[in-house]
Parts: sequence; structure tokens; C-alpha cells
Amino acid sequence: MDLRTLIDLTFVHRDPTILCVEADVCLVTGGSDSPDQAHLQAALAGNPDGYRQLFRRHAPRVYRLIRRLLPPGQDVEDIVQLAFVEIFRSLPTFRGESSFATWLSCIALRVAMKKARRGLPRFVSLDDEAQSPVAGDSPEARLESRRALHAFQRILAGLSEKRRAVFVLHVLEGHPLDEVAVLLDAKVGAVKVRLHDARREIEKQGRHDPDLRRYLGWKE
Amino acid sequence: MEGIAMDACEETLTALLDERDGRVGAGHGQRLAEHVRTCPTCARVVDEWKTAIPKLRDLTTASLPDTALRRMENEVLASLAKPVPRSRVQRLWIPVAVAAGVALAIGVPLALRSPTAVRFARLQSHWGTVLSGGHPLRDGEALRPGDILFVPADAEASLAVGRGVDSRVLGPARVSLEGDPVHPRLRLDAGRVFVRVEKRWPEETLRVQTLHGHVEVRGTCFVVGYEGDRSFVRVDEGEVAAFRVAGTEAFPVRAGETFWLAPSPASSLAPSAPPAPSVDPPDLAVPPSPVEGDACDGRIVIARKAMRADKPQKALAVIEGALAAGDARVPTRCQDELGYLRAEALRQAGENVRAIAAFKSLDRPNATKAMRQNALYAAGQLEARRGNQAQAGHLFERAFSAYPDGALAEESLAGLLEAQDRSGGTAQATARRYLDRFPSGMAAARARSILSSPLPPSR
Repeated sequence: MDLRTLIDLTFVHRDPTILCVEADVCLVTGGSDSPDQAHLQAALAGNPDGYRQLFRRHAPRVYRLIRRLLPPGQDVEDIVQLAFVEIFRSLPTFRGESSFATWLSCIALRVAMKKARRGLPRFVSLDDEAQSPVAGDSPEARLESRRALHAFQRILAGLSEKRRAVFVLHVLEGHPLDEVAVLLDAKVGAVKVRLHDARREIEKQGRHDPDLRRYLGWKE
Repeated sequence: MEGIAMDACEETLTALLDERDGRVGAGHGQRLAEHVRTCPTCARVVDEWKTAIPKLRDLTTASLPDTALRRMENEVLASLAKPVPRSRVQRLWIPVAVAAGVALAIGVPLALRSPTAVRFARLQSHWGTVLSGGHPLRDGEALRPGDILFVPADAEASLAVGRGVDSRVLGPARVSLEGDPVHPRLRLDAGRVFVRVEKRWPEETLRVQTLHGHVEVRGTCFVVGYEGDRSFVRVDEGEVAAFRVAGTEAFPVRAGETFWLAPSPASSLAPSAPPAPSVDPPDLAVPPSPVEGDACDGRIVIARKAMRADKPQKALAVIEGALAAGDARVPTRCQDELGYLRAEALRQAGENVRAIAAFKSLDRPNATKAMRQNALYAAGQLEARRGNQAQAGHLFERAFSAYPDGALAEESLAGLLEAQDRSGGTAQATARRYLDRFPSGMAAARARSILSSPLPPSR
């Protein structure tokens, strides 16, 4: 087994100017020709269309991030809205030192974590759990996915906030470690430690959960 | 794994998830890779995570429905229009401002009683898209006498009218604003409005007009609305005076009472007034419909909340329970709203075929134009996503025709343009239609591009 193969297979493609966090979701992370630039200028000039374009470009990614980050039972749409209001009100303070996407994620994370601290996660039964969009076609496959999702969310919710954030940002969202460190205002070394701890915790609990173990194909 | 091997295992597993951005030097990476090749335990863990990571990503990937995205976008832009909360420095000035305010206190009562000191009306907050004169309204926007508000299905608007009048309009509804700041009038042509009023000065009035009569305010909290072809007022606090459309007799309606405003085919307010029922309802009976309407609103609130929390199955259970519980007793308005929410919940649950059928079932002659347009547009979107461009185009065309001045008219025409273009058909005529109607619209560039490209060869 070549560790590099694992790296290539599981991590996202990246080059100096484009960060792809999923196969079909890429962000231009710098350069004067960034598509965000024109919308940013329009928004700063008070043009509502600038805000709209920025929202449409980034809201799906922020929604997915916050949904992954927060325990079930939180009103993700409300939090995304709050985050974008904060982002847009802070636009004049964006100095371009990081990519717009990174800067925006930073604010979204801060808003989400603040909200998460206020609202305790609640137990979510299988009956009212949201269905995963990747659930299989058959009812059995859908049920299996939902159970696995439920188990995984429970494990994630049980992690400390810092470990959960690192795991979500790096492993699920695909941000490089140095970017995760910037987003969380932490040192890369600390991020590595949290990631390691999070992985071990997930692995330990995942092996004990029959639904998640079966879904991931892990041995007990 | 023991001794040195244990260290290598620990190092490998530590690096398992963290060196994917190439931070680890090549030599270090090779050493770890070499260890994995020779250590079955690490090889198994690496192999397991190799398959687990994409699965966990897929499992937790949540897509945001277009309707939710648009709704959130409107909410965000509306919030931006509101004043920014005061900073700490600004808050320090509050005592000073209060002191200054005290000095002006004597003039306040006079100012409150002066018609010029009171604004006529404004939109306080809204949910969904609220239109006036074909334009979506923003929170805080001033409204003038003569303005007509369209509140589509699944939307609502909170209005401040005159002095101390808060009203909540539930869509689908149409409300005309008339009168002046001291004597405002709300003319309700469809839908339902909840009103809460502060105590009136002697010269102040407030009137809510329906097709069948009007309600003059003497109380503080009441509801005026339609149930089928009848309209009613229900008083929660205080007292109001109800007047039938052709009468001058005032019917006092007190807290806890409901009064039916009898329909009149001769109503001058509504050329298309609904037919009168064969038997007039009792005047001061506790009517079953508004009470059920409250229960219905409650179900709708629960279902919406479940959907906003991405729990479509819970929403479906609530909606289908409500629809199945009392087919005959559930008011038409409620059935329509529940039907629309059911379709939305099915879409959210990924059951697109059932969602399309549910949306299409709302396209019926007695449904409101806004409801029909919303439903047809949503069905068109789903068909387009499934690759059925011809069906999508047909639905977008019907959505546009259902309500050419509606909130989704532009989106419908843009959808038709897109569907025709994708299906390989000629979209030139639609592009011209679009540009005539929306020359600077969201799909204007696309329409111009279609018009400037050569026509496909005729078959």
C-alpha cells in the first residue's frame, strides 16, 4: 500500500490558484482576475447584484460546511443567513490578505461556533433525520445510509469543538492544514494534534457502532 | 507492533490524514509509504480510511434546494437593509439622547396626535417575496395609499399601518392600502390578515374591508379573513364593530367571538365576488372553519420548521396527517398551502417524481395565480434537473402564463429559454420575448447570445 496513492485518491486537487473542495466545486483563491473581485467591488459600491452574486457563489459551500460542523437539530439556514449578513457587513474590512473564500469561511465558522455553543445538540431520531442526498435508490440502502449518517453525526457531535472543526475542515471539506490553521486561528502543530485525536476517536467509536462500521466496511 | 515498529506505526497513523497537501517532505513520505508496505496493521488502517473518507464526504454532503437558496438570499439582503445594531460607543450616547428626549416630552403627545407625524405604512418584515407594483418589497420600505400588496403562497408580510397598528398578512393574499395615516384602510381581496392595534385616539379609525363588509376597530387584536366564499372577523382582545357591505348597522364583536360577514353578489368592491352560499351562516356562532384554520396554521408552522431543519419526512408526516385527518373539514386555503408544502417536502426528500406530480396537482382553476405559478415553476425546475427539457419548457411556459406579473414571471421565462436551448430547439422567439419584457434581466446576456448565434439548420 502506497501512502501517496491514498493521498492522491482521497485528497482534493489543488494548484496555486484554484482550490477544488469537491469534484465540481472549485474556488479561485487569488489573482486579480478572481470572479469574486468584480462582485466584491459591486457590493462595496452598494449594488445589490454584487451581494446576490457573492451569495449565490458561496452560500452552497457555506451551507454544507455549517451543516457538517454543527450537531443535528440546529437551524442551519438561519445560521447561514446570519453568517452572510455578518460577512456582507464586514466587506469593507476585507483587505485581500487571504482569498475571499477563506476570509468568508472564517467569519462563517465564527458565527456557527458561537451559535453551537449557545444551543445544545439534541438527540435526533431516525424518523426525523434528514435524508442524505447520496442515499441509494432502494429503501434498504437509504435506511442504511441514514443510520450511518446518524451514527457519524452523533460521534462528531461528541468530539470537542476544536477537534470536530479540524476534522470537518480538513477531511470532509478538504482544506489544507495550513489553511485550517488560519481559519481556526491556531498553529499548524496544534491542528495536527487535534486531527490525530479526532481520527482516533472517530475510528474507536465507529468500530463499535454496527451501522457506521457496516457502511464504511470497517472491521470491529 | 513493538519497539521501533510501534514508533513508525504511530508516525504513520499520525500522518495518515495530515500530509495530503504535500507538507511532508518526499523522503519522509517515502519512509512512511515503505512502512505501510511492510506493516499489515497500518496497511489495514490506511486501506480502511482510504475508502471511508469519500464515503463520509458523500454521506455528509448536503445540497441546498434552489428555493431555499433564493429565500435565504432575500432574507440576507433584507437584513442588510436594516440599520446596523448600535456599537458600544454609540450606546454610550443613549443617556444623552434620553435626556434630550425628556426635554421634548411635552411635545410628543401633540406630535403623536398630529396626522403629519404618523407615517402611513411600511413593510416591517416579510417571508418569501412580497410584491407591490410588480416589484419585490424590502423590509422598512414605505408604503403609500393606493399601493396593492401581493403576498404569494408560502409567504407572509408584517405591516405597520398608521399609529400602533401591526398587521400580518398570510399568503396567498392581496391587500390594498387606502386612506391616510389617521384613517387607514386595509382592503383584503384574498387571504387573511391578523391585526393588533393600540388604543385609538378619538379621531383615529382603522378599517379592514373584505368583499362582504368591513370591520371598524374598537378593539386591540383581531383576525379578518376568508374561508371559502365567506369572510369573517374573530376578535381575540377588545371589541370591534362589523358592518355588512350594504348595511349601516354595526354588529359589535367582542373578545372570543366570531362574526361572519355575509357575502353579497352585489358587492361594488369586487366585480368577481364569489357566489353567495345557499344558507347564510349564523352571525355569532363559533365557526368551525377559523378554528380549524388556526389548527391548520399550526400544522403549517410545524411543517415549515421541520423543512427548514431539513427534516422532510417529519414535515410530510405532519402534512399528510393533517390532510388525511379531515378532508371535508380542512379549509380550501389550508389544503392548498398544505399541498404546496407537501410538494416541497417531497422535493426536499429527493422524491422528485412524486414532487413533480404534487406540484402539478396544484395547477387547478380555483387555485390562486401565485400558487399556480409557484407550483408550475417548481415542477419545471425538477423536470429540467431530470433532463426532461421538453416537459420543463412546457411547465415554465404555463408558469409564466398563469401569472405574467407574478413574482416568478422572469424566472419562468428564463427557465423556458434555458430548456429550449438545452433541448436543441430554437429559443430565438423566447429570447426576443424575454428581452422585450426583461431587457436587463438575469438571463438577458444569455438571450442576446442566443439571438446573435446562427439558427440551427432546419431539418
